[in-house]
Amino acid sequence: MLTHKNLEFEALIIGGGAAGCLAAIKLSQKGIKVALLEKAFLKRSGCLAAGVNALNAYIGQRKTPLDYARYALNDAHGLARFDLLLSMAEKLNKQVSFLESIGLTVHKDQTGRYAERGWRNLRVNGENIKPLLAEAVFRAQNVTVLERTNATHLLALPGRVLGAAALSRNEEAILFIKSRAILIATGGAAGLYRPPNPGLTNHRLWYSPFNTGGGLAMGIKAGAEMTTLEMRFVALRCRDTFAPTGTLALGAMAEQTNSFGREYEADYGRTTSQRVLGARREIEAGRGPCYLQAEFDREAKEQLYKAYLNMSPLQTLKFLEAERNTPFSYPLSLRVEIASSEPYVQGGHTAGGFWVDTNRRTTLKGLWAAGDAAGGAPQKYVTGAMAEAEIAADDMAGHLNRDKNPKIKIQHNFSVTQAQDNETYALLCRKIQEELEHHFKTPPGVITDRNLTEALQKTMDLYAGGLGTGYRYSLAELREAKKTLKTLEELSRDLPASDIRDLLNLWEVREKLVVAQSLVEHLSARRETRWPGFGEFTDFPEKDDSFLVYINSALKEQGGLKIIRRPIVRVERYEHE
Amino acid sequence: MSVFIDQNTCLGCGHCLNVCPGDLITLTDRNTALINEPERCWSCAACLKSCPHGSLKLFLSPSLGGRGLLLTARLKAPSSDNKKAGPIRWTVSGPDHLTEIITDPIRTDGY
Repeated sequence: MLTHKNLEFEALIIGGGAAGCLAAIKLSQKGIKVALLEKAFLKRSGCLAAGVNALNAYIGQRKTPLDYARYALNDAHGLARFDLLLSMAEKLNKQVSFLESIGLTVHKDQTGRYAERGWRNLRVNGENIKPLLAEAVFRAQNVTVLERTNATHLLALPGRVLGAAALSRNEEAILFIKSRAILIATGGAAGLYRPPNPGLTNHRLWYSPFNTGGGLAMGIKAGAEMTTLEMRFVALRCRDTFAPTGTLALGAMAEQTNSFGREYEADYGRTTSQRVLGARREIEAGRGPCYLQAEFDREAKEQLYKAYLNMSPLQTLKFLEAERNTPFSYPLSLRVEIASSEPYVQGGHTAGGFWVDTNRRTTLKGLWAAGDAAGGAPQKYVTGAMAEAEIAADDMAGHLNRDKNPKIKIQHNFSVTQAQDNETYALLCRKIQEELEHHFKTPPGVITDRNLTEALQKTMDLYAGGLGTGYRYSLAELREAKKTLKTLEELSRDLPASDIRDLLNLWEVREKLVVAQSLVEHLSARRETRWPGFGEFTDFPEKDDSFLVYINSALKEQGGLKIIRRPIVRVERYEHE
Repeated sequence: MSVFIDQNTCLGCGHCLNVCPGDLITLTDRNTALINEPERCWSCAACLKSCPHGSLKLFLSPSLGGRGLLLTARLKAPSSDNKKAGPIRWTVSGPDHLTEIITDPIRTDGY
């Protein structure tokens, strides 16, 4: 049995990564009492656990936020939200200044200006970026950080959110947290597809394996509208370690070459999707493996090693292993084999996530989303996630302060009294507690969270365009995926647990199954192939501009998902209907 | 999983328990650190940096191209005159390999 605890905060942030930390700091500055939920430890959690060696979203001296929005829109082949990109881009450089002010080392040129790498990229010594952000949160007033606390449910009525439920490993309890302004900053979803590395190394992914799509699943179940999940992100990275390649491509101007030494990128185009596609086509044509290749002298090589230590130390170790096998001579022509990852659902590089308005409000009252959990604005990276968190925090504060002013009447679409509200809240809490405790009452059997996760990943790999099929999928295959996922979801409801950790592990696969089912619906609805690098619909292999619309989805009252097609937003502000 | 915890030098101080982004590390009954569910490890090296004794080491699994080299990270306490910059010392060692030290000039937060 689980003990439970009731808490209340003015604002609640779910997820302690880049977006969550920044939102906590901003709300604190506005005098709002806020709780920040982090499933592990704030100091090194989320995507930034290992650090970064560059900030990839920055507006260079000769460019404007409009340039950034246009670039990202073009890179997404037209399918992104102009309002979201522009409002984010306007706040990017401010985030860099903030990070520098809390101690991040940003490389500068001789004149003391940031040393730009291309027009939207800055080099940093960012091994410590997450500890710096975490320290800033711990220094802030009014912020309660709840670590080892994993949100499992939104406490939701139709159309609005009253709070969240979370399992705390520190307290061995379920927390019911009431709040009038909740921010989802849980990141995207890894682990839906069979990963590229086997067995013991299966979590050596590009994206954080601890971004398990929990926030997306909670939103889907509460009835929030989701957008563009079908624009999955496939990352072209260093083979084996899946370490980022920007250090080589932008830092050392390395070019993609095939096994014959031929540079091929120009043949395919240079959008993110086209670059991923290029490597795949070259390999399919028998010209693999593909590499990033550049010349290094001894000093440049040392710099490369250090740069990777700041972000992906395993890659430096891989260079050292290679050097030990065959000692290098200089000038060194270094070839790093590249490989594409399994697909992810996330709103940081691609556009899958919550459907939000320009203020980052979701379609549920009382719920905002920012960072990789929020859809519509790709090319976000660290600073973009922070920019979105700032926009959301400003709007949350406005919302809370408006409510504080008794002269302004709050418009609710519900004619319930406070007493009825309290009763409903208690009922919601009780139902959630029963749902979680059910797993403690289930006798152990042969179905476990591990073998269900394997089944999920195998199904998605085979039938929903994973690595195994070269990211190809057909209508018939997607139908198979739907059928199997439904069965797996039914099985997941009766997984046994003996302690909180078991419960969290099985909850993870339950949530992944929710997200996977939504993803398959989205893939089925977009009957074209817009981003062939990220996936190819074999029944509809061409781009079809009648699908230049957002594919959105929301839970129907009677269960099942409805697909909503929304026209492209080309204006600077967008509000929900 | 790519982290090796030297059970002979680990003093069970528990620093690494409070940094793992997967919340995977516990103490054994012999008071040494242990990675629970090692197949869930992301190999991010957060735990290495928290270890004051260099007992946690990163390695590359053979399926990723590893042949036994080990990497440790030591954070020195920041110098008093400049809190924002201090070295982090990475050391690589292997059975037939001289220990090599790579010092990176970035701020650290000590332990």
